[in-house]
Amino acid sequence: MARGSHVTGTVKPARTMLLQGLLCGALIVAFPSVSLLLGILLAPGIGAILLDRSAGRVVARNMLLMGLIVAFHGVAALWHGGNTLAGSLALIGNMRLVVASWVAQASGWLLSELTPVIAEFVMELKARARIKHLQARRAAHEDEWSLPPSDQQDQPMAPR
Amino acid sequence: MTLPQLVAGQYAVDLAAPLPGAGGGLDAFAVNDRNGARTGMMAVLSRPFAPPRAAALIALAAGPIEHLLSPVAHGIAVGPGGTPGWFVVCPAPPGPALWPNGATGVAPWTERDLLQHFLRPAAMALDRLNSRHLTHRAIRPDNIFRGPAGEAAVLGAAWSAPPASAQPTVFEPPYSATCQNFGRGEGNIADDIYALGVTLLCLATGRLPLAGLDAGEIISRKLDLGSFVALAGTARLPSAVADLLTSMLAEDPEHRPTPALLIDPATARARRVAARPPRRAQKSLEIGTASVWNARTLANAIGRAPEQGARLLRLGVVDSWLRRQLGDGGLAVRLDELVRQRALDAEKTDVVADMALVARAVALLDPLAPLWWRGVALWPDGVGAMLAEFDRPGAAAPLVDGMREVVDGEIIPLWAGLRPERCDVTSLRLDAATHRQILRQRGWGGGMTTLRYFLNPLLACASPLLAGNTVVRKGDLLPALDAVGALPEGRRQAPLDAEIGAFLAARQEPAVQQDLLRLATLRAPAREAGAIQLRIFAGLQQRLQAPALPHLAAWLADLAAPAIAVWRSRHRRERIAAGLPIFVRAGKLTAMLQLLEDRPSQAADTLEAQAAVQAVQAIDAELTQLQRDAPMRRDYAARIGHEIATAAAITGLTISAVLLVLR
Repeated sequence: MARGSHVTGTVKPARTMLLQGLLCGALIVAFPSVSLLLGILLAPGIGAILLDRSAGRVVARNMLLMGLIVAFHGVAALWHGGNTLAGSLALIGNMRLVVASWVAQASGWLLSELTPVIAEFVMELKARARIKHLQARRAAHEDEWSLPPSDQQDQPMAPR
Repeated sequence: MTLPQLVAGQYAVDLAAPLPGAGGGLDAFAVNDRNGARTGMMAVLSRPFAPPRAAALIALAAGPIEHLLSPVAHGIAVGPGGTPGWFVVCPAPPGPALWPNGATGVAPWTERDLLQHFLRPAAMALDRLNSRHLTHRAIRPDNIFRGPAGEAAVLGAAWSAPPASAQPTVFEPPYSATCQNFGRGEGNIADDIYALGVTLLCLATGRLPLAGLDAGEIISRKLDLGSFVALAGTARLPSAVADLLTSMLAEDPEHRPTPALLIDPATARARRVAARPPRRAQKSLEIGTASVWNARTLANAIGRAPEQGARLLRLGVVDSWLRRQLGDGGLAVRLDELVRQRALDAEKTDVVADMALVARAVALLDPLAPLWWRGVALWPDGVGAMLAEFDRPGAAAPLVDGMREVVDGEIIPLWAGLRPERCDVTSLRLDAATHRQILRQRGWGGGMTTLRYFLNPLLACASPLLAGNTVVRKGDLLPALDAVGALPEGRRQAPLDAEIGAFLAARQEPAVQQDLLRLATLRAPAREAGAIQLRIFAGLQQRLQAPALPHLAAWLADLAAPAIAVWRSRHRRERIAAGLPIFVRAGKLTAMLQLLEDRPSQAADTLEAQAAVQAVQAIDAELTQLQRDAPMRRDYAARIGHEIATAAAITGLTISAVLLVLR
């Protein structure tokens, strides 16, 4: 059973990757101009896919999503311009488009890095407020009923 | 405490006017009746550890008796030196005593004077006393008085000290004289008749019989020869007086004439009681320093030398002497049964079993003899006075230990059971059981101290806390303690000690019994003792409707302060601490107690304290959980952060796509 699950776990990503590779290859063959444009415009995101080791590659995913917001306009212009390789190269030569796409991906990276910190900060604030409230209630009980003080008060919130 | 200046609120004792010789051996002073109703009164002062005779004072309150200095009032008043004392107020003697103190002799009285002016009035007084089930027990020439005009004699006061405690040996029947002075007990009217007979002999001869002999020799002679022969000797007496004395000085109280008979001396003289002389042995038996010739002296010798007596009894020496020398086989057989009975007392120590054997043997050998225990003789009703005199620091501890054995072993019923015709065995058995129960009661409400106060209703409380205040009745206790509480040095100890506890328990305060037991068995005395003492005194204040006691209240508040800590709630503690001084100033012990021992509030306090502990436990658990959840929270924040970023990107992408399509 364990052996089977191990085999399934290693074969499935490899198969997925193979399918993804085939799909990408098919797209490049079918739409070489679009593929070239997207390859240039989404280069930071594609690079992040290779470097991102987090589960689900959330940072790379967010970079690509943000990059796509700008890249869509480039692809739309290429599509309206006849979807030619020359058109694709002309758009790649438009540094405003390329920079805008890369900046969007950089914001995606920044967003991915900042939102967990902000979320943790907010949650920690809530937890600290709750602890303060509980400690105040405990102190009131200690004072009224002569109970011994807690031995946990001096401990940090969590081991860092 | 303001010391009372008047006895019973009416009689002012004039300490500057002592009446020497009027008090029957005690200090007596002239008295002024503030109501002006009586003149010629005196007050007799009791000694500290020799309480007045409560039963006699109660019985004589019914009315005075002619030819007797009957008490009219009694109570506490300031005595010599400013110390309070218990005074018994009675009429002052009408004249000098028949026998002035220190005199070696007086002019012999004529037969007519003896019978008319001495015997008849004294017998009338004794008859009235007997009708009230009382005895005098202080009849002797220096305590009988007569007016200067030769009026009838008047019996002196005998109410301020334990019965017969001041009687010289010669005036007591041998079986009373042999007892310790304070163990002679109330006795019976026949003992008074005996003392009257000796006094009659003194007045008839004008000299004191057996003068110069010590007590032991006097008793020995009386037992050996018989009282009449020993006392009268070869004195020449009027025939009527001699006839009367023969019966009045009979060894057996039942052979003595009654007071009613003596009112008419001619009839009393005609009464003849044939008393069989004791059987005399052919050869004496040596016990201790005594040579024994008959059963009566044998009983006396065994009682006086109990260890040797018990050994001789166990070895059969006494048995063989009774058979061979005295020729009383029946007595020897009964004595042998007693020796065998000793084996049944195996649970007692050897010494106690020997003493019980001696007590029984004496009762068998001489049914008239008192109870002997460890060489000391006493009558059962003398136990109280004995304890009053000796159960105190510095007094005779062995004597008290002996009394404890007598009470604890219920020796009195054992002794009485062998002479049932001479006493009320049932009554003695009931009394002995009660006394034993008190003795065995645990805590301050029992033991010898409680028994001492129980048997002496007018014995002043001997607690050193009272610092010179005389407390005889429980109503006097609270004012006395309030006075002590006013002095800073008085408050060094708690206001309730073992003596006061025993005093209260003995003075019919059953409500304190449980609290006294708890006081003696406290686990945390510092915290609980104050509250318990407050409860006892508050109950006393309420029951006796005592006035405000601010000093005692302050004293108890200091002691009860730790009891506030029993309350768990700080607010409640503060409320009590703030309320207590108000009641202290008002001297209301009951209100203080209600504040400290508010049961519904205490129950609520306990419940709320438990709820608080549970709440704190829940808080601690939540705090721990919050601290434990910190890493999980961080992971969750990272996940949710990424989700938010993805959502924002998708939203941006969607908007961008929509704008592109719409353009």
